[in-house]
Amino acid sequence: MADLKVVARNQITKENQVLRQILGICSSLAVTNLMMNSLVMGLGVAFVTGLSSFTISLLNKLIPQRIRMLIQTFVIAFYVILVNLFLQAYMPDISKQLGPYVGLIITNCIIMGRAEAFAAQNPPLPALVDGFFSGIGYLLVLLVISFIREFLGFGTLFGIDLGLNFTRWTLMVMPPAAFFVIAILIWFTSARTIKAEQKERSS
Amino acid sequence: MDKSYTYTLIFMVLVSMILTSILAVSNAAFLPTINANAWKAEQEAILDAFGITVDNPEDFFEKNVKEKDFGVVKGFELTGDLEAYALPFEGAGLWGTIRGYLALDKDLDEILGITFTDQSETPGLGGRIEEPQFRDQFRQVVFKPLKYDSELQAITGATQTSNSVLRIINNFYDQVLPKLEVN
Repeated sequence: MADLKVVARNQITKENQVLRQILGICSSLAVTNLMMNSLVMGLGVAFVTGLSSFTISLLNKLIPQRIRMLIQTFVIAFYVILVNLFLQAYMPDISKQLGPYVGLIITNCIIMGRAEAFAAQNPPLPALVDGFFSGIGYLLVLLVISFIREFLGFGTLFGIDLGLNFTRWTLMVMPPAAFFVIAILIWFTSARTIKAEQKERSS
Repeated sequence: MDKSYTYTLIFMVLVSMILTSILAVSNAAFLPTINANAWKAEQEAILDAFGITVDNPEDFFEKNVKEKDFGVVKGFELTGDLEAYALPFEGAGLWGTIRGYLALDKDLDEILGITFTDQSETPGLGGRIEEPQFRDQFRQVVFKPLKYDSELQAITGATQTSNSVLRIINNFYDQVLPKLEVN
């Protein structure tokens, strides 16, 4: 059985779903112009990934192989609808801002990826940890991106005005900025990983 | 090891039944809250169009505002100290439909304010039509076909959205206003 701590840590660093596996890019681009939206979105994804991985792992022996993916999508959709209902009921403002992206968590490749790559071969508890922390890894990346974008674009953090007087970088709040920021982050982490690997090999 | 077709079928039906019934129950449980939220947001938007800020919007709304059928549209009537109408409008923005309320005085010749309840314009650019800086320009202005000038300023970097807003208001003036049945 895989060590839970290692599983959790890898999901945040070495195997980060966004920066290392380049999954879930779509929503990383879409919801990252405000930190609050990123936080809620990230928590939603962590919740869905964790619980859907857990459920799929639990049902694993019962699921007939030929409809495996169908069941996975079904379970994921189930949790996403719950998250969507919850947001609409208790966080109507954020739900309105996130718009269709909450529903689109269903198509977030991270969730299906974890279900297929990890949950289907592992016991429920590691699957839960793996899924949840892959969501947390996604959340952290989103927060970094939205920190840069919200700070430069609006001059605020979590909607709180920092009272700084500089010309707002309007491009940062528009979709193209997400491409730049995310590409730079991926470049940075890839460069570091390659360096670390070279060091390991030479020593 | 693969399972038989019968097993697969039964499994699928069972999973569907269980998951959808849980969803149906939670939907029913959340629905009243969701509808209440939507209605509350609508009430606040309407009061905002009238230019009224109160501590308890719901109570105030309950007491002073009532629904009114204007023939072509269904809107709201403000009674009490200030008498005015709030009329819903909608039209195409840059990315999607813009909806909102236009508050007019009793004679329908002055705009008291405007609010947007539904818009999907670019956040930070066209989306700023929701901000007071833009909307406050529509407080107490004579209702006639509007255009941007030194008094009424468009949003920089959001020309399309700004123009759409005026087009929607002017369309309302041309097409809806003459047909309104006030009494």
